[in-house]
Amino acid sequence: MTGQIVSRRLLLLVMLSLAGGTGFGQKPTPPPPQPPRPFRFPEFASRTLPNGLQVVVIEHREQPVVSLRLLVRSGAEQDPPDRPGVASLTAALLDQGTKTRSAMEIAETIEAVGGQISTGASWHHSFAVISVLRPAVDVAFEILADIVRNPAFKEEEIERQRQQRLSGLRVQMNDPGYLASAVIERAIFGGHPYGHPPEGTLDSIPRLKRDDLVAFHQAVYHPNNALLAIAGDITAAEAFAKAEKYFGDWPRGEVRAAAVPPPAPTRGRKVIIIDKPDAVQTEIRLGRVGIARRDPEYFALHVLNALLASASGSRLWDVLRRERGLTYGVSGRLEARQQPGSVTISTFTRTETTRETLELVLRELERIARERVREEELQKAKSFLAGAFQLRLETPDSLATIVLDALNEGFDYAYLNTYRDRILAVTAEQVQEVARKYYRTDDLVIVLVGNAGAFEREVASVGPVERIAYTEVDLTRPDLQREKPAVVAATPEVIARAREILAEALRAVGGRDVVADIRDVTIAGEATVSTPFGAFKGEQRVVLQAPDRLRVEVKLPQMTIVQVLNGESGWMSTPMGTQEIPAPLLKELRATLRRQFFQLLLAGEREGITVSYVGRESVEGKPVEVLQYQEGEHVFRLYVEEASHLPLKLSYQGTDPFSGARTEFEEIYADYREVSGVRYPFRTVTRQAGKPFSEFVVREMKINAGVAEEWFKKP
Amino acid sequence: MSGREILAGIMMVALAAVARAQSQLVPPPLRFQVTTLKNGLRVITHEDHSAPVINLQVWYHVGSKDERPGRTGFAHLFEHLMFKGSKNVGPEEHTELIKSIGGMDNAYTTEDVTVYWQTFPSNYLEMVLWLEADRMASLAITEENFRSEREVVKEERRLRVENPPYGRVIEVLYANAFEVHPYRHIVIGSMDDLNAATVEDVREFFETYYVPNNATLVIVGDFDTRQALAWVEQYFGNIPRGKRPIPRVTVKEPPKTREKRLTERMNVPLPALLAGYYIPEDGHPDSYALKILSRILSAGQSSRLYRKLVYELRLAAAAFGAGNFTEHPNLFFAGAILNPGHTPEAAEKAIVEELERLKREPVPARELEKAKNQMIAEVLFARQSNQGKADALGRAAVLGKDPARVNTEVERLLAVTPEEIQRVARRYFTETNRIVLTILPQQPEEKRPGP
Repeated sequence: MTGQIVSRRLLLLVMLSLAGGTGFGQKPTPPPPQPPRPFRFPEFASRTLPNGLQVVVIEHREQPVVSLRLLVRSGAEQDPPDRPGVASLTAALLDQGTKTRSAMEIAETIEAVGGQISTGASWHHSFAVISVLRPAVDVAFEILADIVRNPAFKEEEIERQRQQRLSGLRVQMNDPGYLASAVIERAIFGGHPYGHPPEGTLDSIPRLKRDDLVAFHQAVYHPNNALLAIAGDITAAEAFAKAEKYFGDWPRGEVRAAAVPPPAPTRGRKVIIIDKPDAVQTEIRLGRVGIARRDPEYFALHVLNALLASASGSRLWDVLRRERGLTYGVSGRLEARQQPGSVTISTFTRTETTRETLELVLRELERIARERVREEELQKAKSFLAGAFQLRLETPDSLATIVLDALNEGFDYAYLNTYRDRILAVTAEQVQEVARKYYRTDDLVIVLVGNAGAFEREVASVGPVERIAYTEVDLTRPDLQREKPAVVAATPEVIARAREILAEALRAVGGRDVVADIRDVTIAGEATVSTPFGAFKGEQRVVLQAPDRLRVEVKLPQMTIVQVLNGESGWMSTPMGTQEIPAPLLKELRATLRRQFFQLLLAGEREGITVSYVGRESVEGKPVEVLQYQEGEHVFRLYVEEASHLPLKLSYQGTDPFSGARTEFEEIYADYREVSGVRYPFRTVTRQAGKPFSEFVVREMKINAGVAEEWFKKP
Repeated sequence: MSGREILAGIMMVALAAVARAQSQLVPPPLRFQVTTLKNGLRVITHEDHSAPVINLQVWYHVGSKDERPGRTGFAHLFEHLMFKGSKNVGPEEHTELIKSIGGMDNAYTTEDVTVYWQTFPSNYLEMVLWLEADRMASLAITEENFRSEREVVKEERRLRVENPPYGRVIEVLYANAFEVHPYRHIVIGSMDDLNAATVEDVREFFETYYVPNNATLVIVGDFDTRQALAWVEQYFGNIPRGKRPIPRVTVKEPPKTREKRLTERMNVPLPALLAGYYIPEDGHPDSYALKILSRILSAGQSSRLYRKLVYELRLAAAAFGAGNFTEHPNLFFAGAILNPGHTPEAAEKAIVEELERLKREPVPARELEKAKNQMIAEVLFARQSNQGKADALGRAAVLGKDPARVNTEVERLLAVTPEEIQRVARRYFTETNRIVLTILPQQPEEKRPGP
């Protein structure tokens, strides 16, 4: 009997400690928090100048530092649909030169006083910020007024920014995490303005012109469309006086900005797989259209999102990471804008556990809509959000950011002062209500970036799948798919016409028989390649041996790179050693051979390749006839000048060597010279997506001079 | 010259005048209170109620120079282990708790110190003190999490040192620059030494260095000092002092009598040149002029090395010159990464010429002012946040040996004269006082043969 009682007490103790009660022998738990410390949001004074500029002063006298932040109430939502990145590039150019100061002068003036300057654009605003020490406050006003009002948009500075942006985007497009996030926004919003990447795309940035930037600046950079915050060690009276002095004569202007319509709500479920065959992890995104910032349910959805997917301690963290070790991270994002933005959940996992992870997330979304959340979980989520908000209130500039953002959205001081309390007031009922509305798993976009072959069939049960090759993603387009070159139907007429044009071209370069008789060619010269790290010059030597051998040798100051194609296989030698040529590179080399000048001219006689006549166009002002080559999946075009019958241009889709993305290449042929009775272009300029990519100038060319066997033999 | 250009010129002069007026600004002193517990724990507090936030840091006066031979990288490995749990806190729970209240935490290890920090909403101060006290009092390391964390650190070494181009430059330079002082190895340590470390080493290191009498607790932000100190006493007060004296590095690197030069081939796309000049420790009377001088050489696009090597001569893709100011004498670097087609010899010539110019001509007043403005601005921008203030207080207290230096250091820097800069340049930038490392890309034949 006694024994039974003892064991029952023991059992009770075990249960108590499991339940997290105050059982004995249990680990002490951390002390609970004290009640939140009393806090009032710092007050600010506001005044509107006669020209419509709203000026806000936040006095913060502790350190002798002043920060000026000017916000224009228009941003990336105004980008023309086919030209994402206009607002962002316009902002990037503000401090790169004005009508009276060069970019260098601006940088030097700010550096001389130890100041800091930055500019940028977001969805509904563009901004410029200058922070300085108190005594240099006039320098800050002077420069800020100048860069916002008088940016010069110099072509050379636009080009510099464009190159920087492109090299950044090339790196980002290779990052599956970036790609997944950009793709889901496009998939959620489609052709709505919120669908495009605000920073622009690899396709749009090269197309943005100075006129686009000037037009955007003239349309929205007006005082009556702007806010100025002055925060730090300055009195309100002095700040208003300086705002009047430096910005008072900024004339009002007509604001030409389109109202953003509400996006269509997400209906149905769809799965988009971006196939990246070499990926070992899958980036996972789930999302849909959420709510506007002014929606009364904003706070409840904010709390729900934190409870589900804020870093540590949230439900998905527990399920995916703590319990199963499926991921290192999971996060939730609520983008509440002037119109409903997106709600998304992000995580990543090993390729093999893609379906398991996806299904667990879906299961948790269904559960949270079904069951009311527990009180302690709710408290935790609210503490997280309240804490994160408090951490943003430390510095004058971060306060100015919060204040201007709120004013731009139409909120006032009372809203900011009660923000923390409103989060803390959210109830479990409200959370459940928004869960039912905004986390219905029937209406959901799912994006998976990874090795599709390994999981595509497994996830087909989740919803209808659309698969896009990683190299074919075009974020500029609402349907995400890169435009495929229209393939002209090969009727007997267009094939015959193409043969005639090629025959004329063969005659023009020296005669069909002379060209057909070429057994080997050696071409040496100087190649210049533009890279994200600057231009590189090198010696290039190309050796061709009919029918299918190719050797490309590039000598740079510090290294030599050799690539050799030997029919079906090949090898390469770099400073890293000699090795079999990797499959993607082999494919590129074979394509290079296929597009070789003489091969193009003789293609009409080859099997397996169809050459069709497309029509007339012009290249650099000269009328040309356009031929389309189709060989299996490969399609490219040759442009033959009508007058001389000489090829002037070749265009094709190729791989960007720096990002791996597919882009449009053009080779422009010029400076035809005769060698052994054959005319050959001694200068070839290659453009990638319309921008200069490389240039090759021939110094010496030999035809049928013979080749050495060891040039092709792997050492 | 058009009218508008003249106007712009006048404006520039006016702005320069404003800029000059600025150097009279001296940062307002940072007030703080120092309390030392019976067990030797030093506590530095600074109240700032402008936002409901606190930054709290624990500084342990131990870094990579304190590692015993054969255990390089251990101080940093140990820093990782401090997140693997203590008596009442599970592995990674510390960070998870801080994150779950909207806060942030992390740690870092240098040659001289190991610092743990967190920023959090102010009503959680008691909890954070409890967490830091728990890991100062106890460590719960198992063979298993020791091994797995060691792999994480090895991966960090691959990521930061072995894989990136130029990642090994600093390691090679230090290994050759110092013969006896432990600064000869970098903080991350060597793979072999990391592999050799044992759980027994962990215990010994913890008992030797992670003791209250070797620690400084810095609390900055929204709290009541009396209440905070009461909690500090409650949670840290009964942690015993260390049982053994704390070993300190006493070995001194002998003065150099002749120039040392070496050339290394590495997996880099472009050649580089790095010159290291031996300089005294941080806080040495000459260190202030050296700090100002390093700004003149390489802070921003208008600095001398950038202008000369990158902008004018276009022979370098990047150029830099800066001192590594530490507890013991260290190096001042000047170097460049070459553009294609240019040689390291050309870079060395241009760099040496810039250093010679510092010896030959006094720095113009305007350039000196610019350097000082940038320096004050950096100090003041940092002091806008609790974390910036706590960093400064911790540094002054632990490395400067006196928290009051947080205020006197700035005054000393502002007092640097052109003559002083000229004097220290002449004293330290000499041929015999330097090591020059030339880095060349590997030649194909030097690589291991392909498969």
